[in-house]
Amino acid sequence: MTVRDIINMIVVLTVVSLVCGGGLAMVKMATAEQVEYQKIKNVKEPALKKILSDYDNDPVSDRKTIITGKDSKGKDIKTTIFYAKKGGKLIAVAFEAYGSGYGGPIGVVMSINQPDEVLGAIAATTNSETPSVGGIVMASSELRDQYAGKPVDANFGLNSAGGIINAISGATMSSIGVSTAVKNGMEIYKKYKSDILG
Amino acid sequence: MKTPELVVSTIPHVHGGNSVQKMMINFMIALLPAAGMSVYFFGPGAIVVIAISVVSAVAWEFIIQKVMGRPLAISNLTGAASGLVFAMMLPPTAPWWMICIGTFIIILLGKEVYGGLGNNPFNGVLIAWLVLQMSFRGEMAGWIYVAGEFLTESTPLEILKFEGLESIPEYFTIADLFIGRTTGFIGEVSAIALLIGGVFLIVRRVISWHIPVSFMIGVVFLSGIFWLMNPEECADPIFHLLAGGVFLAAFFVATDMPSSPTTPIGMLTYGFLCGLVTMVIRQWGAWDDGAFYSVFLISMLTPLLDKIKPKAYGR
Amino acid sequence: MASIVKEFTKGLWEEVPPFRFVLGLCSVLAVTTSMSSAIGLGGGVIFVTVMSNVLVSALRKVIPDKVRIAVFIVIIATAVIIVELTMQAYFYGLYEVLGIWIPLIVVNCLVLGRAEAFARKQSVILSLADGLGMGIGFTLSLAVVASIREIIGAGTWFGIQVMPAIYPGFTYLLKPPGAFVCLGIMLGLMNVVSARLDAKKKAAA
Repeated sequence: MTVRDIINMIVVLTVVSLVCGGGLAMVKMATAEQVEYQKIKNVKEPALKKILSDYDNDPVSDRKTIITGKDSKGKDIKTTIFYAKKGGKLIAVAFEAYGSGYGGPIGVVMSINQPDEVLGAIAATTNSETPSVGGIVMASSELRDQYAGKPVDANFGLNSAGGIINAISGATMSSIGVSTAVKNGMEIYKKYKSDILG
Repeated sequence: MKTPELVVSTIPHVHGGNSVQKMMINFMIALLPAAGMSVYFFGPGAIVVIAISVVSAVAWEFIIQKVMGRPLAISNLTGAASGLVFAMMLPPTAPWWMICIGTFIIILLGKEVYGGLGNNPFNGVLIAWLVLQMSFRGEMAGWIYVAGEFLTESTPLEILKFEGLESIPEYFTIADLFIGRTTGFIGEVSAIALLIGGVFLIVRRVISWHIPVSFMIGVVFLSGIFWLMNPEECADPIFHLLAGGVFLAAFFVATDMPSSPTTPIGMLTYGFLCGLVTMVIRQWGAWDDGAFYSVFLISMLTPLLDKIKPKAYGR
Repeated sequence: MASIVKEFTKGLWEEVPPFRFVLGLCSVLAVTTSMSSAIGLGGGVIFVTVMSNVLVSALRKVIPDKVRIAVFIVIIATAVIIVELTMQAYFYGLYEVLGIWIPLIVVNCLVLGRAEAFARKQSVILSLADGLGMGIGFTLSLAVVASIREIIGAGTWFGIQVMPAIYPGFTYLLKPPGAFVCLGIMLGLMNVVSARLDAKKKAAA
C-alpha cells in the first residue's frame, strides 16, 4: 500500500462523511419544526383538549415560547404558551408549569380564560413512558373542581397553609405538588403577562 | 443413490409398523384407568373431549399425510395415542374448535413438518398444549367441579398459589388428590389411576423406569427443601407430587420416545431436571403448575444429554 | 432495458429477500404483528435500499476497496436517519409504534448485502432497479406475513375488523413464537411452489 492509497482512503471517507453529515443537518433543519409540532400534538394535545373548550383554531399551531427566568445552571427556562381562539378572538391561554411531587416534578397544564382572567381548568400532562404522579390525583375531579373559575390572584396554597385548596386525603404530597405547580403557573402568568398576551 | 447395505445408527430406532402399533396400544390401555376416573368424576363431558381429540387427531393425520404425499401411517396408531394424551391435558369443558386446533398442531407442527414419526425434536402434544395455553387462557382453565362436593372452581395448585397453604384443607384432602376427587385437566386428577397405568407401561417395557422415578425424585427433593425451610408457607412434598400434572407428565409425557434421552444416565438426569424445573416454576413462576412446561424446556437438552455415553466395554 | 426489468423483478420472486436469502429476519419477525407497521417499515426499507444502492453505485469507482464497508455504512445510516426524521415529522403515530426498529434498518443485512453484492459492481440504473425490486419484495413479504398474523391472530386487517365479532383471535400468532412458525411455514410453502414451477418448466422443455 502506498502513501497515495492511504491518503485516498482518508480523503474519500472524510468527504463522504462530510457530505452525508451536511445532508442530514439540512434534513434535520427542514423537519425540526414539524417534528416539534408532532411531539406537542401527540404528547400535550390530549391534556390541552381536556382544559380548553369552545375554540375553533388549532392551539398547537398557535403557540409561542417565552423565556420565564433562569434555572440554577443559568440556562433559560422556556415555557410554551398555547392560545385558544374563537372567531379570531382570544378566549383562553394555556401553559404547563411544574411543582415537586412525591417522585419527581409534577407537570400540570392550566388554562386561563380571557379577558376575565379566571382559571379555566387544570389537567396533568400525559407522558407516554411513565404515568405522572400528578395524573393519579388528577384522575378524580375532587381536586380539579376546586380550581375551576378561581381568579388568578387567589391564594392557591393548601388550606393548611392558609390557601383555598383542600388536599386529597391519602395523597397529600401529590396534592401539594399540584397546588405548587398551579401557584408557580400563576406567578409566571402575572409576571410575564405582557409577553404572554402581547 | 446407492443404498448402503447395513445402516448403523444410534437408538431410538424406528421400529417396524407392528411393533410401534403394539407399543401404542399398550400406551392407550395404560391411559384407560385415568380416562375412566375422569369420566366418573367429570361426567360425559370428559368422554366428548376425549372422543373429539382422538378422532380429530387421526383425521388430521390422514388429511395432512395425503396432502403432503406421504405414505399413510395412521395404522401405527401414533396419531390416536397423541390425541388421547392431549385430551388428558385439556380441561373437561374444552370447546371442540380448540381441541381441533390443538390436534392439528400436534400432527402438523409436532410431527409432519419434521419429516414424520421419529424425526420430531419436540413432543408434539406439548407444542400444541403450549400454543393453546398462550392463545386461549380462559378456555384452558374451564374447570369442572363435582357439584355439591367442592366449594371451589380452582385447582389445588391455584389455591396454593393465590390463596395460600392454609386454605387447601378447606377444599381437598391428600386422599382426594390421590383418588382424583379434585379439579384439573381431565387426565391429571387421579394419581392412583395414573400410577396403575404407569406401572403397566413399565411392566410391558413400553417405557423404562428411569424418567418417571427420577422426575418424582426431583420434585420431592426440591419441594422437600422448600418445605423444611418454611413449612408454614410451602406445601409438603406429598402434596406437590399428587397435585397438578406431575404423575401425568412423568409417566406419559416426559417419556415420549423421540424427544427424550436414551441412555440410562441421560434419562435419570433428564427426569431429575424436569422435576426441579417443575418445582422452580411452582415456587417462583407466574404459572401455578409447571409440570408440562418443564418437560418442554428440558426436552431441548435431549441432544446434549444423549452425548453422555457409557464407557465402551474393555477400555 | 430487458436487464433492468430482470433486475427489478428478481427481487419480487426469484430472490425475494426474507424468504430466499433469509435476510433481514429480525424486522420480519418483529414488526409483522399488524399490517400498518409492516407497510410503514417496508416503505422505509424501500427508500433506504434505493438510496444506498444508487449512491454506492454512483461512487463505486471512487471508493477504495479497503474502506468500502465504512463508506457503505455511512451512506446507509444517512438514509435511515432521513427516514426516521421524516417519519417523526409526518407519521408520528407510526414512529411511536415502530420505535427502535427504524434505526435498526441500518443493520438490516438486506441493505448492506445489496450494496456489497450488487451495487458495488453494477451501473446506477441497474442498481436502482435492483434496490427498488428488493425493497418492494421485502415489503410484500412483510405484508404477507403480517396479513396472516393480523387476520388470524387478531381478526383485523389494517386495524379494521374482518372476522366476525365472535372470532376469539388466535393470539399465539401475535407472539414471538407465532412469528417463527409463520415464517417457517412461509419458507416451506415458497419452496414447494417453486419446486412445482421448476418441474413444470423442465417438463415443458
